[in-house]
Amino acid sequence: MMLTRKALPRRTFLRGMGASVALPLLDAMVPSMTALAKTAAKPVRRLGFVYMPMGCDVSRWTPTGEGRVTALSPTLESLAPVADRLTFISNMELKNAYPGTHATSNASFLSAATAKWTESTDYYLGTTIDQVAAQRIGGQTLLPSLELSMDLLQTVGQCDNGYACVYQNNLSWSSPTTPLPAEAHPRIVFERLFGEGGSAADRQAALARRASLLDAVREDMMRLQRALGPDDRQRVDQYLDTVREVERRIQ
Amino acid sequence: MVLCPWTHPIQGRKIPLYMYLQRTRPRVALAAGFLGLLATVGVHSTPRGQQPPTKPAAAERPAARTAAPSPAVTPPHRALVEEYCVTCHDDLGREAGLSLESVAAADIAAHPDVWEKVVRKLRTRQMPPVGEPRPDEATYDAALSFLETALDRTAAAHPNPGRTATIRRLTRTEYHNAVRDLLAVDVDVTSLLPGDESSYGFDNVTVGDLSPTLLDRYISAAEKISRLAVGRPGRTPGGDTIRIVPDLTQEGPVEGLPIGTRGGVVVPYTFAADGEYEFEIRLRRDRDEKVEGLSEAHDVELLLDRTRVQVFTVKPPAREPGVLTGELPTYESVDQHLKIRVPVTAGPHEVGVTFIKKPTLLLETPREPYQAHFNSYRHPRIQPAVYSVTILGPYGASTPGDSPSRRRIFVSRPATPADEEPAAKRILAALTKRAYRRPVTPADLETPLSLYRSARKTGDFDAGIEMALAGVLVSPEFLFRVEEEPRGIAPHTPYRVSDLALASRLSFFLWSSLPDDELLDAASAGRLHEPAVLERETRRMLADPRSRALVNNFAEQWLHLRGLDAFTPDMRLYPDFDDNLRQAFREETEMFVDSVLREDRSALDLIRANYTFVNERLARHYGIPSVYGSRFRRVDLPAGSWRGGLLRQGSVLTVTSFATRTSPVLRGKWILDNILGMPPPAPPPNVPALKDNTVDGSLSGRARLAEHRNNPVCSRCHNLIDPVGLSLEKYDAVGRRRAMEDGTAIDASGGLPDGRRFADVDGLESAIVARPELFIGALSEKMLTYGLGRGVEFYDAPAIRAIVRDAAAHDFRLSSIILALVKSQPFQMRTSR
Repeated sequence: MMLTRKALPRRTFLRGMGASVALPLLDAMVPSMTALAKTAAKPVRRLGFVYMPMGCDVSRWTPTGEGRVTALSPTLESLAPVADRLTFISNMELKNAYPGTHATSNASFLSAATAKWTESTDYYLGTTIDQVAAQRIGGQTLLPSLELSMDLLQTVGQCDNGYACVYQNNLSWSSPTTPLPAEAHPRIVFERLFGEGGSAADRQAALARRASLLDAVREDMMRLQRALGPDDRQRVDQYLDTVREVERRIQ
Repeated sequence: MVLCPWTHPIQGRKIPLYMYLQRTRPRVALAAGFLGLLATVGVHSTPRGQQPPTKPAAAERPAARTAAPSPAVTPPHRALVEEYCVTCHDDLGREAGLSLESVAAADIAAHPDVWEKVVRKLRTRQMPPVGEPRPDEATYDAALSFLETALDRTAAAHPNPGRTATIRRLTRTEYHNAVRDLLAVDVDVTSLLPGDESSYGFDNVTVGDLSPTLLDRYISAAEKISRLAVGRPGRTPGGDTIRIVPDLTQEGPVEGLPIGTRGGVVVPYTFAADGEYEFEIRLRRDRDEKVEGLSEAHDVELLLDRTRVQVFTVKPPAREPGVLTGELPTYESVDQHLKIRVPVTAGPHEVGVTFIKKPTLLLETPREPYQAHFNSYRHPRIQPAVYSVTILGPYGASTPGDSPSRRRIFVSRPATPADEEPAAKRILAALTKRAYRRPVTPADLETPLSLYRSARKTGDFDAGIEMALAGVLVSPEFLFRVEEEPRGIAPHTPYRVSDLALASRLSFFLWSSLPDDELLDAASAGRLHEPAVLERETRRMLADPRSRALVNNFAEQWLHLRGLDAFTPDMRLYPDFDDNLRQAFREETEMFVDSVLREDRSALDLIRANYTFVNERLARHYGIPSVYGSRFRRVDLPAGSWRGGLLRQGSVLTVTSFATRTSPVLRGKWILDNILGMPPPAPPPNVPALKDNTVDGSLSGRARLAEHRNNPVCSRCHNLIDPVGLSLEKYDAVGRRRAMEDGTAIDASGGLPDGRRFADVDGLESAIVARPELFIGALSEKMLTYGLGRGVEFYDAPAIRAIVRDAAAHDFRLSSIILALVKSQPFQMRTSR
């Protein structure tokens, strides 16, 4: 399909149809008094993990009884508005977190793996569950995964009884040897998610700009392709596939 | 060497007697009895260079041998091969998969790939292997000279310049430099783009890929860079946080910050527009959230272009009176006041954050006075340190201002609204010509102009230019280097690359960046390939500061310096290692290579130099006395010094070690690969790991590798690799000189695969310098790989030989190697598909 400059269906589409884009679902995007399921932007299911390093007072955390929970525990009272969507699972034990030091606990929280006991650069753990999910379903959103923390504490050298500091400093690992550092600066996180921020109209404009750039890339690539021989045209075909994939992601 | 009569002399396997008889020397008389056979088998004295007397008894002898003419007529290479090589490299034995039996008598031009292999092994004297009968030097040289002349003649008659990939993406480094030269803006590409994969030791070889993630990043980078370069403020203030690595010691002065300060960081930062910017500083905390080293008041200074902006005082938190002793003071608010908003002009500035130095009283710690101070257990910080600097802005109303990038982009300003589109055309024409590295046509401007128009509808002139610029930065014409062959050319035909392609090859080789206007003009005029013009341009480019890329990019990859940033030695064994030392290692090697390049020294000085570059930290590490301060300076080394030259530099010695110990294997491989051009073969697929804990830990490194020597499966390769690295054993895993290891004296005797033996690093260096063509040939091959972006193949060997010959006439100066390379066939030509 030859893309002429006169017909740019996607840009028109964006302008006309509103926010049919894979943005995080924000209050501003859900019209008031509308059931969530009926909003134009169909929410993408997300997966999140929250780590509480020092744990909690279990006696005030665990709801009493089994089966349907009728009364929330003191610590969890603030979750009352969404209580009908909560499931509590108890009696779990993360065996590979023992002995429960900084390094072993943090490392096994999402990997359920035993950290290799080393202080050097030959550390080895395992892919964490959030990254397994990111690899499977991460393509559905703008960013496959986000690693956030409250404060960035990076110590080097002996962090914990012979373990390298990577175990303690990183909760997410995309492979047994690749830790993913977390981002603690709120502004940077915000800009990664929402770009320049501003109103929904601003974000739409930013996405429209991106789409324009992708169109420009595609036009230039097709011009390039015409000038090349047949074997190299195949290579450019692969590039055009890439352009299509990126276009799909911002739709 | 006593042999079992049934045992193959090299492989040790059992073979039938008649086959054995065909291969042993001297030729035995089969008429003799079995005992006579046994008696003569152990003798290995062969008259050199002569054909052994042929015996008619063995019926299976190859015809070539029985029909051998007198030595005067046989070419020297054939004589050598048939005497020394086909014992193992025949059709039956096929040692290492190579048979020379039928090739020996054939025309050299028929099998250049085989003969180039032979030449490489003969020139490096790796073959015949040490322990087997070997020719003398004269025989080697005669055979080599004959072979190389024939191969060079064949190559001249049937040129094969090889084929680089048609489409190659810019590497991350090249992208950074291209943006710098196109827009006069220095961006941090490591946060914008992912790294590139390496092949043949360089990251510009496998660059034909474009994944969705990468394209996504290119688009984000293009938007960010165009915004920064045009200086149009965004909707909200942007920001960057620069974090300091945790193992940086901040007790002493930092280069680039004024005298009288200590610690901290200098951050070169490009400010997008004139306006107010907020600076926030945070101090380093240990894992208990206490600010390390804060036992009394300290002054933190913020500098902009070495001018003081503000001084803040930080104090340890006070205990409130009357508080119970159980509660600890909180350090949360200790650095909350370290922020300020100041007006800054657009463009690049140097932001400095540092501490005012306190008088140097004897800051006593109960521990050994290490130089490293960053770990609260081993060597704690004595004084507080900076953790991060955040720069946010511009706030409030901001105007683009006058920055180098705006001056570069806006070569034309519209006087009237009607003049806007023509002005845009002029601006984009200048940009695209440089970005696309060729003269541009109006058709080239259509895409950027349409982007300009679409953005101009909702923004001003600058906004339009910004959008068009982003389009240029994301265009495949910018991101990819395309070398097309001429239309209608026959297949497998060498052709001269166009002058424009040659200009790109030159600039990406010498500068890792775009060609500049002068180079493009010479290419557009069709004159670049003329020898005088080419030499003039090459020399001009070498003298230009951008040729530092040969140090930062080529040498950094060639010498594996990239491994430095990932290297952390075991803290227990090497406690006095910090990031200051790591960076000092890198700086020493980069300044050293740069000095050989700028002063146009012989490339052999890289090995044998008697000077180096140190600052105080590095000098203390090396034990060089009387060097003070953080500045790097050249030091001439006295005779007998254990420093000077690449093989004695901390960077090389560290990247070839493990975190807990040295690795003679890694060092040997590094030298064989990068310095001598005789890379060892890959290990076989089922090598069991060297079990460290089953070997006595009190043995020396050499003794621990005994299994490499004792096991014949291991030793055939490791007897070539290990001795090279063992000669460097007197340098430990972080490059310090040592005589003892765990109480035993170190034996640093070693050797090279060609059989030369020596002890310690000066023996190794003398051996390398004695055969300069090996090192220069290896360096030329690495440069050609980097310069072309493809691996070097057998058909490039004649070109490499020509480069080495050319350089030899000029004392092997680096400039002569580079000039010869640029004039070589693989660089000037390409083979069609």
